Amino acid sequence: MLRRLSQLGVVVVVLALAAAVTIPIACLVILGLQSVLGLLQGDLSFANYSALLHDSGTRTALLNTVIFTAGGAMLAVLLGTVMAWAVTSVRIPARGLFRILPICVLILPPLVKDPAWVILFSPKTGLVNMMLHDVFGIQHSVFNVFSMYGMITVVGVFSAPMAYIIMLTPLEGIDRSFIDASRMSGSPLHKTLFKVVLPMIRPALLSAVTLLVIVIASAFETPVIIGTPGGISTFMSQVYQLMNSPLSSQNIAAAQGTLYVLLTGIMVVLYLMATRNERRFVAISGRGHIHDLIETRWVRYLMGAFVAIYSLFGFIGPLVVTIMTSLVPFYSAVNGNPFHRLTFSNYEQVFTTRDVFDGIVTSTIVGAVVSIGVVLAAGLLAFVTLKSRSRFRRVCEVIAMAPIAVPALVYSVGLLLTVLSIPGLAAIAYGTKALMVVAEVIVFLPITMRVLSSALIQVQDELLEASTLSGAGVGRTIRSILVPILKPAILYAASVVFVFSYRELGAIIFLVPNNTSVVPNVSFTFYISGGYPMLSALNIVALVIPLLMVYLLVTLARLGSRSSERAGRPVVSIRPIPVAEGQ
Amino acid sequence: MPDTETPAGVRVTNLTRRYGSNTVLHGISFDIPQGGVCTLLGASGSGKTTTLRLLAGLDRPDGGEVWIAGRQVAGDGLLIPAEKREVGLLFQSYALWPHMTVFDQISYPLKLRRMGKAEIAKAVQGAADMVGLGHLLDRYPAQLSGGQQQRVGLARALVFGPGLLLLDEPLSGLDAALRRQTRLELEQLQQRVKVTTVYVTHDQEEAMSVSDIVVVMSEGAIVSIAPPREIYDRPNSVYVASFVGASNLLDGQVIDRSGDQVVVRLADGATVRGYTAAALTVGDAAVVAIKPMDVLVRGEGETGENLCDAAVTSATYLGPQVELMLDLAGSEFRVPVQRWSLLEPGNPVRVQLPAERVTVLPPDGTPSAKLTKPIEKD
Repeated sequence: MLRRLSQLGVVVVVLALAAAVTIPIACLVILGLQSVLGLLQGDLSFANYSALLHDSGTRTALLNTVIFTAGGAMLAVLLGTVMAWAVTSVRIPARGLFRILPICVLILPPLVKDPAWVILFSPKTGLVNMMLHDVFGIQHSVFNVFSMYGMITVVGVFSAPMAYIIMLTPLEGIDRSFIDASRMSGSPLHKTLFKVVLPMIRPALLSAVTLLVIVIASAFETPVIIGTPGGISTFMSQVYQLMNSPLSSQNIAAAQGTLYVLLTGIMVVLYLMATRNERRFVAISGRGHIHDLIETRWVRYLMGAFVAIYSLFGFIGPLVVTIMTSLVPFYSAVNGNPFHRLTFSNYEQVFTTRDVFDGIVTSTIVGAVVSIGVVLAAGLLAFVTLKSRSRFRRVCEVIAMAPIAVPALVYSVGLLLTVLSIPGLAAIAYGTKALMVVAEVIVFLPITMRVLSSALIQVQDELLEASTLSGAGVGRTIRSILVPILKPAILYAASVVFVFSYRELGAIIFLVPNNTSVVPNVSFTFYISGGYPMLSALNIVALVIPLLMVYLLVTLARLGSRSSERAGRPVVSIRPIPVAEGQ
Repeated sequence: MPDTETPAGVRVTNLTRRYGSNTVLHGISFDIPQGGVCTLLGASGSGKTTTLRLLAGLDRPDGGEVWIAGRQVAGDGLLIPAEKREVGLLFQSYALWPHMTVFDQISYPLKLRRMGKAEIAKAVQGAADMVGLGHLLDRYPAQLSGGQQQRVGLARALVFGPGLLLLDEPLSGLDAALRRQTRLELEQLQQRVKVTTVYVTHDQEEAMSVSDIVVVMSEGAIVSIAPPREIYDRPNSVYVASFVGASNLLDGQVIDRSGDQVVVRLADGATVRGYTAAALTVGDAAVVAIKPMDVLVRGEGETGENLCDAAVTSATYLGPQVELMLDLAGSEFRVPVQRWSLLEPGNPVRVQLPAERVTVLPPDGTPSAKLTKPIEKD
């Protein structure tokens, strides 16, 4: 009896998740075919699509999106691969430090990095441009971040760490003997690199490019923060503007959203095709590493400098700029050095301004709820997929990973329109924080699923079977055996989601209730109104708090199980996976 | 005497398991008396592990019945889940939970049965003492040796007094000395506890030494059920003959039969008399089987029954003996001889196959004895 009840409960939860994933998309599709908001209350026609596709603005936006995405992805993979190669094959100085510096770029949220580059590289008043003017007497602005080049550079530089992490593994796995054999046959080193190494990492390169295309195409911040001021419209900025303006039709936004999902859906299919054909021919023989392949002095220092400069522009620079900007009462670069008066007043204001402080509190609460919710949801789906013999295994896996194909903003638009267009639903759900939670849970489901799946797969079935044979039912086995073993992975997943939730803008921007504020939204408002100092101060606070919370969580967990040291090496090892966020 | 009504040990009837269009178990049947020890012996893919999992309740059969300790657990639409079967299983990997102490591991099944704390402590100490781990109760698996881990797994499987104990390849992965010791300990344990036991192994030596009966399986079917000695000395098919003890096999044709003795003519004209349980008649093709160590090397001029001439093709020094490979009637024939033998490739040699050591079998595939044979336990 109990078994039936719990099975029913599982089915209900899985159905609810499936509904949360599919209904908003279905809504977008249907509303895109209508001209009114009420679901199925109007005639269906392709009028919206026709209008979109005939509009030259839309076509321009599509072209821009393609250029921006492709360019950004290729730049990111180029930078990431060169750095991965530098760190693995060349004996660059301070290798230990340089190995992790590129990854540090991921610590900063897009709402820190993008505005920081705006401060540095905007035409005329950008700090770098001003410095070049003052020091070298260059009259015109060398860098303009508000251009297609600027956008591609921004997203390429800030997405490079993902490519870096992806390419580290295959490069490190190449058996030295492959390269040695080539050289013994008479091929000089540089030819060997192109003829032996490159083909071997080609599958990984392909999968990196397609993955980055998906991530960049789904990103919200850069197209809106940098693209819009620069007059470059993209699909993302168009959908945003359509939903933002009270004059334009939300049905057209739905139609464009549907096209967007189609676009990203195709990219996901391409990604799956690219990775399915991936042949693993990097031999893990453990004998010879590619390390220290190149010892030529100038190459070493050149590559070291490359990584250093990248870290400077990607991490150190934005961090420093943000801190400095947070310490000025108002930001004006027009009259020379903007940093001549430093004060902590911005931080004071962060904690005393009602809205801002509430934002911090709300974000923390929402983050906690979302991370708990998504870990439970993904945990359930992962368990059914990997450890049960249910017929719905594949379905659960698809439900968990499907949100990858939907950009966060588009999903949240779909969710909002669902609530607005289904009678009765609006009364309960509209204007509640619950919508934000739902949106973030769905958006973060894939990454949580990946972390928990890769951990769960390492738990041998026999450990669970032994519990069953001792007389335990499924619930008891999960509680007493599975959860304790998976604790590191669960904490890791919860921490990652908490940190992401703190900076997630696209998923919630249209779902934040009127009387509520959350940190990303407040930051965005500051940015739009030009309040760089407050933006920076809030950003620094928003950087520190999640990290503190995570540290707290991990410490508490460790206190609760001192025995974990005596238990020896954990059964489950967590590989840090490429984190899929905006940039 | 086997109980036909409610068997106290284990009864498996017509057990079938399919995966899609692939049948992994073809309706096998066997009985084990209460307290008896049975070994499922077979190569990979023979279905022995599937049978083990079906007994444990970790898998559901597509047909047939399973009775354990007087209770039907599978069949006729009934399926009692693993957690309610009261079956103990020692996994090949021991499956100890890394986050629990030895005490927690062994007490886990008892906590699930709502025993009192004091009772549990007593039972756990008892089980641990029985396997010789009474002093290691607060250690974690990572702090134990492989052998100790195995004993924890065993204690955990026995502590709740199961009606059936299953052991999945308990000696594989152990070195020779440890195997002997562990085998003895398992034997002693089983005699003390008197629980019906099923071993699963691909190692014939293991099977020979511990069991009351051996069930030889191949490709999802039972090929032979008999006590170890019979399996070894009188295999009932070519498969059993070659899988258990690596017999020499010679093709021939039956030229005479009287009672259970037949005479077979080999390809080179030599004749061999031996025992058979098969329905072979004059003119049938047959296979002569004899264990290498039963073959005798004779001098050139000697006479006697079952003599064959052969030529040495290789002589390999193995340490305790020399292994001769002969060409006998066109077949490869293996004979171990003393290590100071001077025979070399090319030498002719005369061997004798003692009639009481020869078993004559039908050619490939047709087992000669009936498959199910109720075994008396003394």
